[in-house]
Amino acid sequence: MLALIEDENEKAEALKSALVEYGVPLFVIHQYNNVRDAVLAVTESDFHTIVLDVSLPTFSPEGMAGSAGRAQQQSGGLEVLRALKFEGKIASIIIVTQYPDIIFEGTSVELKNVPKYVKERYNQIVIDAILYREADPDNWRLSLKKAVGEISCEF
Amino acid sequence: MIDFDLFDKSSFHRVRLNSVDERRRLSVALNNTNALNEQELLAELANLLNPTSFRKVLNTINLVDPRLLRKNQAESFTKGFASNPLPKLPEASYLQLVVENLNTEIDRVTQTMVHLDAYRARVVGRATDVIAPIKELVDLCGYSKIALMKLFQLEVFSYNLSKQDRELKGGIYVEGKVRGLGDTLMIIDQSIQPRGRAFRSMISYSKQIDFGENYYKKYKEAVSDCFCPFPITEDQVASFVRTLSSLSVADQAVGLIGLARIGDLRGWEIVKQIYSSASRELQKQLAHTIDPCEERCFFEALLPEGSTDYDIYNAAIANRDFPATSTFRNNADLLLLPRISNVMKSSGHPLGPKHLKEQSLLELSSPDTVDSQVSCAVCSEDRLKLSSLLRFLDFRKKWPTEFQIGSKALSIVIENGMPLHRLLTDVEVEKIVLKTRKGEDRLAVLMLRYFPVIREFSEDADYLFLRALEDASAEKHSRNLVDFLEELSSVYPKFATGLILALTPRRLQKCYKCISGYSDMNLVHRRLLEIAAKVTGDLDLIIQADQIALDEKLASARAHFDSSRIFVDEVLFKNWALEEVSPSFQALRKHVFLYSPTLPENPTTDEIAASMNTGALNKIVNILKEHFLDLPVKDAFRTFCLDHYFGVDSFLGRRIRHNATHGVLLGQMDRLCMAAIDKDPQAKEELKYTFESWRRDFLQEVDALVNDRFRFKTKEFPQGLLTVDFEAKTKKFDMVEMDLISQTIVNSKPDIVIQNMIAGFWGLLEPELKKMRQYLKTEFSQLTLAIVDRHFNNLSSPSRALAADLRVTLMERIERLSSWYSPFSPADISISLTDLAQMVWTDAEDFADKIELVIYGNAKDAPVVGGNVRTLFDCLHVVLVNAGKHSDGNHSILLEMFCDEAVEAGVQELNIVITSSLSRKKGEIEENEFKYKKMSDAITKAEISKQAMVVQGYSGLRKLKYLLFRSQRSDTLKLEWNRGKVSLRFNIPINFLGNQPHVSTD
Repeated sequence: MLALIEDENEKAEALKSALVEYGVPLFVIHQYNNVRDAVLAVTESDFHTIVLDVSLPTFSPEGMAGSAGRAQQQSGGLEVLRALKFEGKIASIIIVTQYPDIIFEGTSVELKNVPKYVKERYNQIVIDAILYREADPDNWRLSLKKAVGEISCEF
Repeated sequence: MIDFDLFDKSSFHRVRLNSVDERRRLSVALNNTNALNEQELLAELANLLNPTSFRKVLNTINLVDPRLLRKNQAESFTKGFASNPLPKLPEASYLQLVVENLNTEIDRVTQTMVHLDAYRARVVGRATDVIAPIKELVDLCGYSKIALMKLFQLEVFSYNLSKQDRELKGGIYVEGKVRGLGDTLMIIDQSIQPRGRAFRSMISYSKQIDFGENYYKKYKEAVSDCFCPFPITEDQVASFVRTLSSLSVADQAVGLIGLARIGDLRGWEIVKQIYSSASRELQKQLAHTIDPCEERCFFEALLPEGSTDYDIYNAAIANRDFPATSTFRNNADLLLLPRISNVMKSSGHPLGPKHLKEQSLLELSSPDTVDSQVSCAVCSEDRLKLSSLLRFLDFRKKWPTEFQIGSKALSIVIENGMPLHRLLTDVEVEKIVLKTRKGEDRLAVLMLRYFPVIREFSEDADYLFLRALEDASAEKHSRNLVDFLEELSSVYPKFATGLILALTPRRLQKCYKCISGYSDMNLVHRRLLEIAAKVTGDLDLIIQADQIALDEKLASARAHFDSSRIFVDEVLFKNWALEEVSPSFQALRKHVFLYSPTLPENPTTDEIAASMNTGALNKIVNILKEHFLDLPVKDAFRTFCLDHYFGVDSFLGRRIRHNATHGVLLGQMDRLCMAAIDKDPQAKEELKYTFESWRRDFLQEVDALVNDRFRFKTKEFPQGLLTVDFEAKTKKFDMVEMDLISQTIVNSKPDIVIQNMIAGFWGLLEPELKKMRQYLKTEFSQLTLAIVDRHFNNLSSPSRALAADLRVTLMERIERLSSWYSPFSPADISISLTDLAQMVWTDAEDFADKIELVIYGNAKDAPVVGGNVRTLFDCLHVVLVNAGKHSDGNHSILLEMFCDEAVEAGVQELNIVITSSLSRKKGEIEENEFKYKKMSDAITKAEISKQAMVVQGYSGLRKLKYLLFRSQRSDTLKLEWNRGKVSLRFNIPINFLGNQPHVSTD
């Protein structure tokens, strides 16, 4: 099973079609667009791979009613990593973000250093931390293809 | 007056100097000195000896210098006693000296006992001259710490001292200072002060703390001074006696009495050795004790009503001559000191200034009174809080591998054990959780998970705490947090309140299994605050709960405002376009019909589409478009964007001039920081400095955003985010044009075409606005979050929670700012007073459908903004619900909202008059008069205070009165009764926007 955790529809669709193109069967992809659903999913089910955006809203669009301006959790995706850690689960993680670095509880970590950091901090295997730029799809698609190549035999 | 000054001159005699002259000088000095203590003697020697010799003196006497010993004790305290044993030989020798000295001073030992007896007797008998025996003790036996401690204890427990007593006390105090006992007095003061001041020395130290390398050292010293610990291992006996008895025979005697009890209790050989070398008479005197009944009476007389065993803990230091207090203090120290030491060691800045300020290490604020059987109290009864806590820790210590929290232990600990969060290390918490019987004691796990959350900020700790909370609430309440915490509050009110207050929105939103969305979260948060308010009687919590409800109600209105912020003055643009563009459109229309004879006279959009598809019309339109449309529409779009008076650029300009961006980004952040600074005076300077330096950097980025990036990209502003190429022929532009042609042909009304053109232009601008939103949410947020982290992440752990709050707030602010850059929706510009009142009325229970609300007055349509809108909403809610309830139902409710002068932008006094008709039916008139009287009483007589609000309820006219009181307008509240009509009037200052477009600087 693969969890695709991404809140922006366009980006999620782009990632999904790329994943399918690179050999991930469509039926194994489970999509989540907010921290709550994602955390509940990873605690209740076992995902082999998780494609994870970092900046996510806490709730689904329906749950955002009454938010009074509250927005994304800056590092909402890290809640998923934390849940995996404390549930004693290990998954292959592909982080796809629009930021050149990720802030882990106040510490800014460059994407290239994210795998090491996540391994130490959350005991998860990060296959790659990919910079997603809408204007430059070739780069992220290439990285994603490579990352999927590393895990595709598992699907 | 005879001084029995026993400062250790023998150690000075051990100094071996090489120079004969120097040796002679030292010898003479030691024989002839009048120094009262080591410090004075050292001062004399410093003048007499050369520096090398003096250094040698220092090196030698340091082994037994009381200050060093105290320092050693402090080291032992924080490093663990066993790892830092004191030098044995000199101490053992010294102890021997103490006993030998007491053997020869038996008369004075006897006198000490007699005076202490007299003192006890007078306290018990509540004599008015209780200090006299202390004074006699001081006069006859010299200044002793025990005498001074008792003196202070009498003072701090507010015993009614006579004038004579006070004079005596002052005299002793002054004399003590003259004799260089200032430090001792300070330590005594801190040691025996009742709750609330026990940590004063630590706090005073913390004020000097620069958080540099000296921090830990100073802190250790402060802790050590404050606690004056009893010896808890045999290694410490010598230093304890030494510390106690450095001053007088009385201290030595009392110190040995206390030690006798503890030594006996613990089976310490060294104590037996001391006693074996004591003379028979001395042993008799040291064994001198008092009747347990007398001891109980003494404490009853001494400790004021409401004292807890924590007070006894403090008082015990001044009452070492009592067996029970000595034992109690030793029992407490035995558990407390190594634990505090461990906690301190296990974290970087363990007990920081914030913790000191909270005084929660041992503070037990429950009004539980000390049992009248004080001797039982000092023997650790379960019902006493500190004792329960210590017992719990003792269990933990004795059975570290088998310890499990059962429901029995839990019931004792859970409500009394809040200070545990300071005393349990994270590792211990983890071990206990693992040992807790699974599923049986989820409350215990919750409590243990709660400790790290309040001790320091950590996302991991939060996660575990919230999962424990979800599990605990799942057991009986199907994860209904409100039901769960409500029930918990009836059993463990303090614990439940602690949990509720820890459940900030930031944490609550992460209760993934219990909370499904923000509306749900707001409701739960509100209900929880109400529960906590009920338990604590804190009105602020009710107000906070109310605020959540109100914010949610206003959120929908705000959402309209905020998603429609970018602005073009449509009226001006339309006027311009009608003059500049419409003639071209009309010309195009005329020509289309001229060259397309097959086109029906009044074609529908579908018919035009069909004609276009045939190709003939398409060709004609394409030719005409080039002549009549391309240039004018391009020109219109350029004007729409760049016109300084009514275009998008004017919006950007106005935002810059009005400083709205600064207000949105800085206001809330400033308030958050200032609140944190005010909340924590101990960390004030550090936080203030951090805040100021952060603000400088942040402001620089906000300025750059406003000045350089919120622009159309031009040569002048190369960093402008709006990069519109007005010359480019894009597909989207073509589509807008085609749509315009279609509209133009269908519609002969130019203003409708222009309206459609505006909608088309917003569509063209949308990608640029998206880019702006994207920039704010990605690069700008990343940049500014990094600034927060850079400045706030170095703060000590509790203050780091501020960094997290700032990050969340900053994201919210940026989200709000970015929401301004959405396509314009002409329906939502601002909230008028009428809209606000209607919003209230719709919300006002079920009257809205049955009774008409008539709103009038010169201010009714004026848009308003600012914090007082909330207050006004609240006030209107009270009066409209009230009017709805008491109205006869046949007449409209009249709401007049007016200003004395014409409404203009800025703060003006808004007059509100609400009038409802009461029934004039027979039999109901009297009832209504009673209602009126009741209302009148509520206005004129009801007390305005937080306490009153809690007791009498925060609702109705009392609430209105309180709200107006907070706005300093309570005097404007008036009630009138005229021919069955009741009018309620009040004023409130409100910020009017005048005729400007809605500009918020929130």
